[in-house]
Amino acid sequence: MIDIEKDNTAYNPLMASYWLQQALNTNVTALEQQAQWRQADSALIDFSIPGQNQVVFISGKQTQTWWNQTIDWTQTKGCQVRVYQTGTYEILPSLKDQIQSAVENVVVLLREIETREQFTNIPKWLFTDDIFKCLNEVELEGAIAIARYAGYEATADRILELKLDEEELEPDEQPLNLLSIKQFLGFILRHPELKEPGITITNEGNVKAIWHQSNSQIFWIEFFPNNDVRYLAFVPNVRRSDGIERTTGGSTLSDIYNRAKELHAIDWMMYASSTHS
Amino acid sequence: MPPQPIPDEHHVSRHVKNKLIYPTLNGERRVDSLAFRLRPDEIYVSVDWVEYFQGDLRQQLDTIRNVLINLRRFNIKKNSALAVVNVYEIKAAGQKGGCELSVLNLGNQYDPSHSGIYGLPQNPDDEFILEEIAIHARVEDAWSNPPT
Repeated sequence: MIDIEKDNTAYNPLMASYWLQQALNTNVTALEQQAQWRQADSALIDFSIPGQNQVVFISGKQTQTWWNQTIDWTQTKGCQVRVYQTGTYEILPSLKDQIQSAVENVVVLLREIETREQFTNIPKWLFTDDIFKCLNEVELEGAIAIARYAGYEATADRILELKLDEEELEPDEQPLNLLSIKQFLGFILRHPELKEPGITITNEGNVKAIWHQSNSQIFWIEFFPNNDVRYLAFVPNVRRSDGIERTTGGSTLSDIYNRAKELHAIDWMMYASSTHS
Repeated sequence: MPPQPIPDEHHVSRHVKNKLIYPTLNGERRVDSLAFRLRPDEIYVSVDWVEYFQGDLRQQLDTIRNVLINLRRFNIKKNSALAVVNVYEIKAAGQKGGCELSVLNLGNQYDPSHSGIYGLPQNPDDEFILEEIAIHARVEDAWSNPPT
């Protein structure tokens, strides 16, 4: 058992993935919460069940009374729940439905466990769904924390680095566009089979994700704030004189993955075996 | 003196901010094609003629960095880079995209290495020409010994 309340690192959101690993790999019954990193409006809640930990990340504002009632209510559902807050108790709106939904999911999970000898992983859809809910609500710091929390360490580091570089923008440069970052993170979270891309930032502040395997295997996507994307693909084509087919164009967030598939770019954008989670 | 063509076997460098540098899936550092995009009011992309200066590549780039700081008042941050591209590769990138690019030295006695890439397209649909240039760029640290 790790006593996170005696460990200062527990309150460092940059350590979130470490704590997640602790929760998933051991029987730790506690997870850190990361409310206090510049915004005291988010929390990690750990729904503990025998032999498993269900982790739900949520944010919003609520009162201490509400928290007490929520904890009581979740315990009546047969789950142990520990809610960690380091900030003011005036935190967390619109949370109750999310918690109720998450607890219902845990109950479903418990039922599944009863029918299996061993249940080793939290269903990916459950984890992913909760992250998306959060992603809509958080500011940049929260988005970085979510990226790290989901295992995208290099991505989180890079976005943080780019934010720190913003101190000296030139007149034609816009700051990082939070909506573009969220579109990008939403995309990679929906496609954990994809390798972490290189990241650059346009003068408009949009994220450009680049999967560059070789000079004939490049796929990049620029994420606009409104679900539009712009892309470029270099893919091998032996029928062309120089062996490379080149395509640029505009598409949408929901269509771009299939576009990469059609162009056979997905082949090198993915991990060899889809083990990334 | 009118702008003079730079020999095909020579190289030019362009200052690139950290936000336009990325790792490939194999971990090599590369430069985003946006580094070679014309701004709306530009007719050429500003570069420096590397071989104008004496010494090995590192010494040449150190001299160029000092020119950028002292003559052109650039703010060269520790994590920025100089993208070095062969002149022939730039022209070949243009040919693949159906446009004629030229690399001309614009220098004068005070700023002799200053040069420009002319003929670059403004249309985003021609982006792959910039990509062709970028993939042939070698990314070098702007500072061999960063200032503390």
